[in-house]
This record gives sequence, C-alpha cells and structure tokens, in this order.
Amino acid sequence: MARERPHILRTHAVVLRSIDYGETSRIVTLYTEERGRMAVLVRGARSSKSRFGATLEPMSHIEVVIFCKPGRDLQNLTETSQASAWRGIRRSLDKLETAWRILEFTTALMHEEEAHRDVYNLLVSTLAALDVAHARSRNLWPFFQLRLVAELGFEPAFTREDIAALADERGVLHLESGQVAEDVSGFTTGGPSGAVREASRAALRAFAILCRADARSVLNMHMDATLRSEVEALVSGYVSWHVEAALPNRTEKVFAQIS
Amino acid sequence: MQFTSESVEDLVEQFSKLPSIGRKTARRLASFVLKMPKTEVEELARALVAVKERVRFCTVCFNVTDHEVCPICASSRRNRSVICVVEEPNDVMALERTDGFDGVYHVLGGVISPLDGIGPEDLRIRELVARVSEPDAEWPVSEVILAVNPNVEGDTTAFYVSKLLAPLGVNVSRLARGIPMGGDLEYTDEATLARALEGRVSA
Ligand SMILES: [Zn+2]
Repeated sequence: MARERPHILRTHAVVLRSIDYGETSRIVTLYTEERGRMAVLVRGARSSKSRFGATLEPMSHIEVVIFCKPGRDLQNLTETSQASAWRGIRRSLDKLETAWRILEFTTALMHEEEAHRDVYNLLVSTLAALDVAHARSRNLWPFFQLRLVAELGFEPAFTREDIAALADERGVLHLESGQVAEDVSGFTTGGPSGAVREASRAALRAFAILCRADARSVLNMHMDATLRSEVEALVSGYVSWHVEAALPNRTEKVFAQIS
Repeated sequence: MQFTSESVEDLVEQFSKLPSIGRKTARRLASFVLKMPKTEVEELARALVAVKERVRFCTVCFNVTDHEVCPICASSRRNRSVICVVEEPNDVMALERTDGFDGVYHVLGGVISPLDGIGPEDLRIRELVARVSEPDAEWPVSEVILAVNPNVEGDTTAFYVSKLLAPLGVNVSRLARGIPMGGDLEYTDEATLARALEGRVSA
C-alpha cells in the first residue's frame, strides 16, 4: 500500500518476467529481497542505447534502484547492476526448463509487495545451484516446489526417521498434514479419506530429503527414471493439495512439446 | 477537445488501437485525414485493405509476400544452402538492409516463450526441420544460422532448434552476441559485457 512520501528503494532482486510496454519501455516483474514480488516500469529499456542491457532479462540476479512514489501503480526502476552472472543456467535446455518453471511457480504463488526474505533466499540459492549443476539439475524442480509451499506454511510433518520406521516397502503420505504412515489407519489427524498418496519407501525417503536438504546437496541425489517420476508425482500431489487454485502450467505445456 | 461527429470519433478510436498511438496523436491523425483530398484517403483505405487481402506467407520461408513464393526464395542469385532463421518478417528486412547475406531465410513467426504459453507448435519449427531434411540435389542445406534475439527466449529457442537439427548433419551457428558497434566498454552493462567476453573471437 501507499507509503507516505516518495523514496528511493535499493534492493536485490531476481527478474521473474519482462514484457514490452509502449515503444521503448518494459514492465518488469521482480522478486525483491525487500518487498517481495513487485512490478516496475523501466523507461527506455528497449532503446539501443539503453544502459540496462541484458540485466532485465528473466532469470537475472540484479541490484536495483527503484524510485517509489505513493499512489502510483507501477514504480520506476532507474538503475540496475548485475549481482550474479548465472550464465551456466543458459547453457542447457534442461536447466532453462527448470528455471522457467521456477519463475512461473514463484510468480503464481507470491502476492505483490509482500516481503518474504526466506522466499527470496530460496529463489536465489536454487537458481545459484542450478547455475553450477553438472548433472541432476532436474532435482531442483521438485525441491523448489516443496520448499516454496513450506515457506507459505505447508511444511510436511515428517522426517527421515518416520520413513525408516516404516515396516513395509511402501507407505502413504497424508496430503493435508504431510504425515507418513504404513497405511491410512496410522494417521493421528483425520481428513478426507481420499487425500493420501501411496508411494514406495524410496520415493518417500527422497521426498523427505527434498524437504530438509539445501539446494546444493539436492544435486547429489541420484534418482533413476522410475523413482524420479514417482517423486515428482508425490510432490505435485502434495503441492496441488495445498495451492491448487494458483497452480500455473504454461511452462509445463510448452516443454511437453519439446522433450 | 471532443469531436462532434460520430464518424470522426470512430476514426480516432481506430487510430488509437495502433501501437504507440495515444488519444492525442489519434485526434491529430484524424484531423489530418479530414483535410486530405478524397482521392488520397481512398488510396490509403485501399492500401490498408489490400495488405490484408493480398499479403500472405511465402510457402517456403513464411516471410510476408504478395506471391506464393517470395522474391528471395524465387531468386536464382540466392544461395539456398544457407538458411538464416529469424523470429519475424521485420528481421528479414533488417538483415536484407545489411547487404551482407546472400542465403535464404526462414521466419519462425515468434519465439518459444514459456511464460506466455508459446511453444514449438505455435511456431514454424516443424517446417524448418522438413526444409532442412528435404533432399535437394542442387542446393543441399549446409548451414543454418540462428538469428534469434539474444535473450532467454531466444536461447531457449536456439537450444531446441539446434537439438532438432543435430541429427541432420548441418552446421548450426548463432549470431555473435556482445557489445554494440560504437558502444563503450565502460558504459556496457555487466551482463552484456560478460557474454561478449564469453563469445570472444581470435583477433
Ligand atoms: Zn520465401
């Protein structure tokens, strides 16, 4: 909402989206460290003499100066400088796909101007890990989804020990609470009977690691194709149970045509 | 200022739908049209309708043209072994102005843009692959130059197209990216400068 007087905001940000506006301007959606998601107007961004160059492209990590005037719909971005290069993200189609999905997911789930520094840190650490990843960069997609919904208050309530305690090779995940048990009778909290996902112990274990490990360590997890698709289904089941209305799928549809 | 004529208001409305034309400019254009001789207005109207009626896409390269095959594709002076892939017809015009390219073009009609839901099926990518793989004794395709814009969408498109063309054994290149000619290192943003450094060539 309107802050009382015009002021200058200096903050770090990740560029989520950049669209052309008018003849030479752009409207850029940022995820800022100080104020969360924020759309800004950048005058002259597309002119050939623009000093912004490549800093306003999606997936850029930058430092920005924004001139904020109360009551204005879009604040004016006046300066940028690069914070991280992240050129590694742009060296493979797989990495680009993961990055596009992360940007789309963040844009959909985060509200305008709601500061959430942990989400900013998660976004930056995930993209930084993606940048340096040599293999298994795809692990970062289920990781990011789980961790973002956890930041929004839906952290699954189980640990690796819970999984180790499973007597069977299979178990079930309670979608609402994120509890794990051998079968539906094991849940302490109730909930609709249909809201569980059955999975192998290996998938539940991977799910638990994704919930606790940091982005760099996630790159060390080996998952074969079967396990990966099981884990991805488990994660998307859990995520859509909690944030269904907001889930975007444009990127998913586009990349379904590609791979 | 409000025009009292409904047809003038209508014209202002139509003009203001054009890119970069605000209400004020639209009014200025409308009052200019009012002062134009009737024959000139008729010519303008004819040109507007003709562009929609006559212009179509070249069946080979998908550039805009008045014919089934555009003059570039039909020319015997062009090297049909080299195809330059661009996003829009405007890019063909820009490259033609350089006078430095004697190959032919392929217009994709856009670029892969995941956040807008624009994927390969919305573009002429399949047609490009068909064109490159089609056996042509006289002009076998030897090189494909990806002249997409140097941004993330362009990168995504270039990776995807290269992946599709890789098994066909053609040389795939991309336009050099970096500092604009006449530009100044000191005033170039770090992101552009870093890419220029990465894409450096031997002196
Ligand atoms: Zn043509």
